[in-house]
Amino acid sequence: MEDSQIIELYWQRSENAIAETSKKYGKLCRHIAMNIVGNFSDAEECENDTYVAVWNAIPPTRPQIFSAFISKIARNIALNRYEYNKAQKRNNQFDMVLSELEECLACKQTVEDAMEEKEVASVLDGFLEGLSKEKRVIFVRRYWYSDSVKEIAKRMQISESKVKTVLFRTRKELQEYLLQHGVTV
Amino acid sequence: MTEKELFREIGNIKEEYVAEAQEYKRSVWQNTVFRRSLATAACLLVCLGIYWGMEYFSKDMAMQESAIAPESCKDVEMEAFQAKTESLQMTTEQTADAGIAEEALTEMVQKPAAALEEEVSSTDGVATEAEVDAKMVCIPAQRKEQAETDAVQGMLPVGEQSNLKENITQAGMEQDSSLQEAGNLQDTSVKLDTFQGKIKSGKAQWDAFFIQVQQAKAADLKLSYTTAEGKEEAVLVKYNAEEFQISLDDATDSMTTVPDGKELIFSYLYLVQEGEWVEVILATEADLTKEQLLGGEYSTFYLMQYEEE
Repeated sequence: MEDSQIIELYWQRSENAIAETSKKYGKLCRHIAMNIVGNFSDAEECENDTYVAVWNAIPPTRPQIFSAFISKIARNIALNRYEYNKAQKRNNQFDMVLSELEECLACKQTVEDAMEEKEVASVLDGFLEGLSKEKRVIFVRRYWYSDSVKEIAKRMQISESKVKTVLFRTRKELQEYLLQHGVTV
Repeated sequence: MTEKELFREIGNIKEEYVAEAQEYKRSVWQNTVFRRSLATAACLLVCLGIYWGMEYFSKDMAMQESAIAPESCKDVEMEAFQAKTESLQMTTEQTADAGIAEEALTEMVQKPAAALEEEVSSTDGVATEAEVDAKMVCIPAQRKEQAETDAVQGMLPVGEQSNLKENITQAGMEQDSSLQEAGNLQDTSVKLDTFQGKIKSGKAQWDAFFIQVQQAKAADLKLSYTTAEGKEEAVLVKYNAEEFQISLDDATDSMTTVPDGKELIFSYLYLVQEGEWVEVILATEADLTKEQLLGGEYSTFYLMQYEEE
């Protein structure tokens, strides 16, 4: 079923909307959640919470890209669950993702006059726009979908060493870009 | 900003980028494994193409070289020709050993002439030149008839016969080819006289053709013979300046130049089979008539058989 049809089901408040969403994007939501929370049970819970959040968001929202919309919701839910579980257990893979992003920051001091989310996101958009498609996909797959290096290499049909190299260089470029646009610590 | 905050901010990027990362499929040409395989296959194809090209080119050059057939083929033919002439020389020596020498043949030819001179000298008065010539004509003709009568005996040994004939035939064929190269002499030659005779079986192992020609002017002569099968072959003859005789064993060229006023005698040994017809043709390329070339005289062919002693 096309995304537009699924969205229409939400607007019609049809229960089939969730079924169709689960059928088409259930695997994707579980994958995103699994990469963050690190266990299957929490990932399923995140998936179910995602469906509820989408049901509550549509309407009034009519997303342009439904896959990205639902993926973003699943990601945020999984991240909240991660923070909830952080005190109890650790997810080595996701911790690695966070530690890598730590390199992009000049220092760890809290920004007193922190920029609004919208401005930081726009800066990031500008940075991503300047990247090549392959680099951008690798960056997003790593720091948005939280995919492992192995998964990215398999999806991109390239070697893991190349993925690591691209990520390393992209992080350096992001650090410089953030400094140039005032996103500093 | 902490890494977690940055991570959350990354979550707020454009949805287009998120969808792009989800739908991205690397093209086949970006697949390194595929490109490496393709490059390997391309290299193999290039190497095979070079190899096949070299093979085809070398074969083509070999075909062109064989088609041209330059001097090497002529050299081979010359070597074969010389080998055949050597074999013919051996057979001629055998003939000499058997007691059939050229001197004997010459003597047999000269005897009629000597006898004629005696006859002429014994006559009263001065015989006219024409009468002398006429008698000279008659005696050779009688000799011819005698030769035909004598050509009854003799069985030719099959082995030597076939070998010799084959050698002579082969030599004649090779010489004929050289004649062709010299300018197609047979086509432009003027037939002066012919002689035909049928060899009868007998005890003779060798047959000889005696050709007596009296030359008035210098000319190149060619002697050729035709077998019963109609195959015209050139006889290998050579002009001997001293003895005015032509023997087969010295043959290197079928053309010979006869000086003015000289009498030329051809002696040719040819082994023929029983019942075979042989036609001997005396021809020339000179722009002379028969009378001019032969001085208005005669040419005579003898056919005889000899028995091996």
